[in-house]
Amino acid sequence: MSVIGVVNYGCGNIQSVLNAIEFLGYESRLIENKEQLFLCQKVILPGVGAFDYAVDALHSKGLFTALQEWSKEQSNQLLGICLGMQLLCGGSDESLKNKKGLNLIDGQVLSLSKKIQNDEKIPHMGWNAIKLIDNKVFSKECNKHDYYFIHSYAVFVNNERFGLAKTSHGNTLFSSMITNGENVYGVQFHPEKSHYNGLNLLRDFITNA
Amino acid sequence: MLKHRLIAVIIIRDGQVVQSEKFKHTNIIHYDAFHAVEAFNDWSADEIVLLNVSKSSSSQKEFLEIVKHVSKTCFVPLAVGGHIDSVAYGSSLIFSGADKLIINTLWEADVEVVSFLSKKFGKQCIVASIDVKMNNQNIKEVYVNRGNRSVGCSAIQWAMFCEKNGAGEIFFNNINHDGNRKGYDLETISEISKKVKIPLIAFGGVFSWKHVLEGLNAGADAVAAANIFHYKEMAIKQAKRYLLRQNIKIRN
Repeated sequence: MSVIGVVNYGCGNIQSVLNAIEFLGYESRLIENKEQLFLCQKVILPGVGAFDYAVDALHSKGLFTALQEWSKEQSNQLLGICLGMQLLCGGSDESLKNKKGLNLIDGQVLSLSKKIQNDEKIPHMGWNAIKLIDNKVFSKECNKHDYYFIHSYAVFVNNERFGLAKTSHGNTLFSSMITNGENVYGVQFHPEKSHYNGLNLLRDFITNA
Repeated sequence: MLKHRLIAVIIIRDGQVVQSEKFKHTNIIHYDAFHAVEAFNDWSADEIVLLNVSKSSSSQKEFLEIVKHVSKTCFVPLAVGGHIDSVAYGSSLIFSGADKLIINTLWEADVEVVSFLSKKFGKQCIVASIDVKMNNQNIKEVYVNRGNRSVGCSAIQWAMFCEKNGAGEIFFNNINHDGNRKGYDLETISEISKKVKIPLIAFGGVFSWKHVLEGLNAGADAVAAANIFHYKEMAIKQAKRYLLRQNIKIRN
């Protein structure tokens, strides 16, 4: 049985990711350093909190370059959740010091408040639908369900081939799921907090990726 | 399209689930928080709120254990509040499985601590709990410390203050409406929702699904209730069926 690594960089509620993995019947392991990372082949990069804080925390644990190196190996599979997905891109509007992201997927993280024209609320908080394209990992059943989003920044891919799913908030259409086309995936919503449909999506990553 | 949220609130005093009426918590509901969360999770609540209304802050540890236990089977967002008085306690709630911190008295007692928590975990993690009631001059004012101390300003002023200092959401209750079965304080909900950019949750007074609809029509982004969900089997599903029939966008 595969062990799912969960990167712990000391921010936010990662307990809920561990609870979800346990509920699905898999074993999880916290990853705190490079050595632990290279022992896992399936890894989740969770994320709640601020972009700069997360980048600094990954660097201080030696995990920033380790994740870049580890994900070059095609048999390793990475899933970024929420801020974890935004960290997969090259950088973010949220960064006050223009810090670089992991740059594993070619996309920009932009502030939703700059994008949104009318009086939609920010953060984009609550349950929303996704429009997922055909792919080998995630079931198209996902298109029938809602998932839990909570974010003020969103990913806009620079090339459509990196987009897996889109979601709209008001008139703004952003990427709710992304991939590098190979072994790196990102989801903007929280599958671990999106009830049974979210757990199914997490299971798709664990079993199909 | 973003859906409205239907939120189930569980009120806990000294480890037991209780009913709330004008912030008095006399009726014990005879099942524990773990089973309440499990049921609400199964019935498709969009979010679950756990409030510790115990009088003494010595209840902090017991409440933390409850959060740890219920979060194991809670696969929807879990917001928790009550006696959050420090960065250390707020952080321990998050690390025990809470997704959001609901903060009331600390906005008045030490707003720096709230701002710090907001920077640490992101503002989406900080919910400002705003309680109003009539003062002796019959003016609606914001009260903290379980409705015992006035902060001397209106709900709108307080909501804007919280938004500026790191709140990502507002959880609004009118103590005069709490448990009175007459529905939300629609007037104040409508006022706040026009003034702030962050989402607003309405709470207090729901006795029928129509009350929930009124809250949304008044401008709330999400609607919450406590007592009513405990006494009706599959109550959340019933509420959602009603709202869907009224063409409200809500998760099925």
